[in-house]
Amino acid sequence: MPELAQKQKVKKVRNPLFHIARRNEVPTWFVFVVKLSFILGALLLCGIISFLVSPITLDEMPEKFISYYIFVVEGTFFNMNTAFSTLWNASLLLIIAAAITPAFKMKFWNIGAEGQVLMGCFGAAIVMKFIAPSIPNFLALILMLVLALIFAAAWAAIPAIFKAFFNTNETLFTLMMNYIAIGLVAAFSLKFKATGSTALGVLNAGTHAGWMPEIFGSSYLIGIFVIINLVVALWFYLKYSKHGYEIAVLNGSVRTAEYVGINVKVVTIRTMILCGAVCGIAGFLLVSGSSHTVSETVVGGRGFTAVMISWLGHFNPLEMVLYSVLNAIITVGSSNAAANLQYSGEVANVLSGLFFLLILTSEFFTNFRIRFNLRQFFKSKNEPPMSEGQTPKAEGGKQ
Amino acid sequence: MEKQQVIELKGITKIFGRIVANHDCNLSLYNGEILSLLGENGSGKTTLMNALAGIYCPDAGDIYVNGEKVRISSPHDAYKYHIGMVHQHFKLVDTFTAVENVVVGLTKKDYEEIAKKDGTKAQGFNLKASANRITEICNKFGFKLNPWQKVNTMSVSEKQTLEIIKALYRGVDILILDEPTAVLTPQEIEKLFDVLRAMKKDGKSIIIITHKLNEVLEISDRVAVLCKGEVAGDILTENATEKILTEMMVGHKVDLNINRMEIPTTGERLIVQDLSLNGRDGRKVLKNINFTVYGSEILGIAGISGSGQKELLETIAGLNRNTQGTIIFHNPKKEQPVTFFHKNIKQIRELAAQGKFHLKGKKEPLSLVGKTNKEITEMVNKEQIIFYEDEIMNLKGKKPIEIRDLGIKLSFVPEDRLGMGLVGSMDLIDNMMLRSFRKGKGGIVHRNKPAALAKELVDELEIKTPSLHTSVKKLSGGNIQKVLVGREISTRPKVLMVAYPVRGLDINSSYMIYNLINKQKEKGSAVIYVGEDLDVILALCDRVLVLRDGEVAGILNCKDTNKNEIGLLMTKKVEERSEENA
Repeated sequence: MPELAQKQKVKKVRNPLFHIARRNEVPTWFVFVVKLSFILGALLLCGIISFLVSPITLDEMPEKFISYYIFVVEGTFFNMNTAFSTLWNASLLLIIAAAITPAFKMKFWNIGAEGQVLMGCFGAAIVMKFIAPSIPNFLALILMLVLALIFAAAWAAIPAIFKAFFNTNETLFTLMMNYIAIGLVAAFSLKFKATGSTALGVLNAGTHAGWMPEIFGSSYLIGIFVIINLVVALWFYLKYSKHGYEIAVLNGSVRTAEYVGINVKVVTIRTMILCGAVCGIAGFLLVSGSSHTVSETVVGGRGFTAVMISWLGHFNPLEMVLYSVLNAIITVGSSNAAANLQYSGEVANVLSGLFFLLILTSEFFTNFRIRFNLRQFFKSKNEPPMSEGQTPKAEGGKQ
Repeated sequence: MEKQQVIELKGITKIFGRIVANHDCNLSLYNGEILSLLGENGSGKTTLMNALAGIYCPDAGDIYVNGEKVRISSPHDAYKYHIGMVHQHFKLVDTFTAVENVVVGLTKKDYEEIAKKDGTKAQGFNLKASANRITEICNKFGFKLNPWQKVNTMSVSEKQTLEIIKALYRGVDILILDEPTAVLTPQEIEKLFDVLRAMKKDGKSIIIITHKLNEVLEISDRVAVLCKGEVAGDILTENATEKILTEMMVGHKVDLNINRMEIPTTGERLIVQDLSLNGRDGRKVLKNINFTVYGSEILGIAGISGSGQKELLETIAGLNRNTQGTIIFHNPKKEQPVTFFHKNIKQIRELAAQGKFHLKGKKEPLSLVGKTNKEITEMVNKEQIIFYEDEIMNLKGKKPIEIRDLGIKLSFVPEDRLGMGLVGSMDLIDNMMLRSFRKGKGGIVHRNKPAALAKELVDELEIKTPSLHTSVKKLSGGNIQKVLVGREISTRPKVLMVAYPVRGLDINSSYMIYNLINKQKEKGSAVIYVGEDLDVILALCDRVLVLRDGEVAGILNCKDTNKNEIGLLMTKKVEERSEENA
């Protein structure tokens, strides 16, 4: 076929520079090493950026090279108070991340944790404002918890019911429910705003009714203790309970689940009510333990950050502990560094965003390997085009 | 015509993760020849051809077209070198007509090249002219195709014809066909082979990927055999026999006989009467199906794919409940004791209240009123509670779990192994308890028994797995199937339904599955076997039911029939219809 050969007479053939292949069976030590090096690398990058953006000169601060790390540690573990505060932030994030995990495990993409926690806060705050001052404190706390559970569970159940019966898209639905919750809380705090203020203000500041009691001088300890227990319980639930098994089957395939007699509707709604209930507990702890009020921003985006924590932790509540603690340290520490090194707090947000972006990137390297073929790449570039009809010699086959 | 090398593959290697799909493969193709690429499933035939067709980029090795080193990085690239591939799963747009499917993706330059090759004037986008050209191609090679027919109204063989024409339209000189006969009836295969011979006469080269030996011997000039990703050798067809080829394929000698045990049947087990099922679009997927399966019998079900095989099995298993008709399960329990294997205490009480039992050695009905659970348990364990008659139950409209709760041992090995039979992301142990995880008290799952079962299956069926805690989806196709079949058989089913159990399996695993099915027959189970390989159905089954368009076209005795008769039953109506259309 001579006309065939003519068309492609002079044609450079270039081999690809690299290609990407999936890894199988990655050993645990390898994952550990990759993650650790990425965490260290991310810290290094944050330090460099911090050094570059800070207007302070080296004369004013000779230790400027490591100042970022100093202020991160100072901001988070300077004394007992800051340490507890950091752990409290981490715990809140952890419990919300663990709460949405059962839903994620059955591929119900619940991004409505923000709204569900906020509804929990709302329920707790209603009790705090109207009932708590006139009843004993432990009773007030129980009532707050109950109302928080009901509010948050209902908020989670609504999209689940619609998903189960009308197959609505749960991602959009739960997202929209967030905005409704925010609107509700905003309306509530406007209606009952404190005198001379535009918000609800700290409730029962004088009586401390509905406030979590302090032990060892910290109001966070009870909350942290409850959260640790809940997270372990959720891990156990997912791994060893029949409900957890049903969720795992649903994760595999809905058809398999139906065939083995799992009622998909029931499991969907039940799991979301559980998610909502745990979010409700988080809301209750948040209001009674630290905020002592409710406002549209009281959850502060933790409901969305939790989505990332849950994914980073591979839907394993125990693994999430590491990432939620890291998140608390980096966000609180970065803002402390920003304040001391005289750059904007927004830069601190950029730093913590960058930090987690890099850790997410490490997932790519634990799942895939990149193989460079430098020799082939450069060799093929210089290879002269072969003349017509010539049979090539058998070489360069195996590499 | 002088023999000229048109394609040469040198040292092609392709690696997916840890799996080496192809290792150092050398292959050449001459003009005007039909080359068979033979190998077991998973031996790397399709991967090697995908590298040639521009789907994959090989990790190492070179491709030469007419002695020219080329790099083919997309299927469009491949067409540039006049290489076309018909994939096993067709790449057609369902809502387009034939001609639209042929011209989709052609650029102005492509039209010019095509015209240049033909020696005609370039036409550009013009469906009428393209349709005329399609008709020309059809006449030249002996195809039958209406260019204006929509793809979604076509039969499988028409779609395949369209795929071949699509390649020929683009001026292909080298045509690769991936398992072209897997979906065709014996008659359609003959037609396809005639077309291929006509193309060969025209000087075109053809590569057929297949694992069917008889077809290789019938159609090809030369056979290249792949074994575990490497080219085991090539041989001229005239020098080849089935035995030689099999040994090349497998790497060692194998026994190619399936033993059909002639054992007496043990009475009716499953009776399906006037079963109809409406599909999602309101069309009837199953129409008045009637058949009976007996114990110790294997009933084969044959038919063109999509004739209702899947729906029939799923309906019996309780997955489709929008049905008319009856499905009667006959449990041979007459004068047999009740066991906890089939019934729980509550069910035994209910059945006793209906007067279904008598005490061993006595005639009058047994009453369990006033007896404690402990007393009943003792009586059952001593085998004192005896059925009067066989149990007869209608399964129609019952969910899978209700069927199981009735104590009916009905096992189903679905076509979709990881989508329905197993959960790919779970390990072997968790998959073992998929149907029994509710057993045991409390909310905690008990993994001891499933773990023991998994270990037993791994030992007994030689399942190759790194550990019991490996995700099932990481195993090979054959091992996945062994896990599934093993689990289903371990429940000692009275009725076992298997759909395409050897699809994607190598020869050794296939024979292991046939043996397992035969063993179930020996134990008295009624087996329903849906398969695509008619040779296997004829060798393994006692009777074969032919489905055609959701109807029973006939039930034949395997000893008194042959492939042609079954093939005719499979297609009769389809052919009638296509003639009407023409």
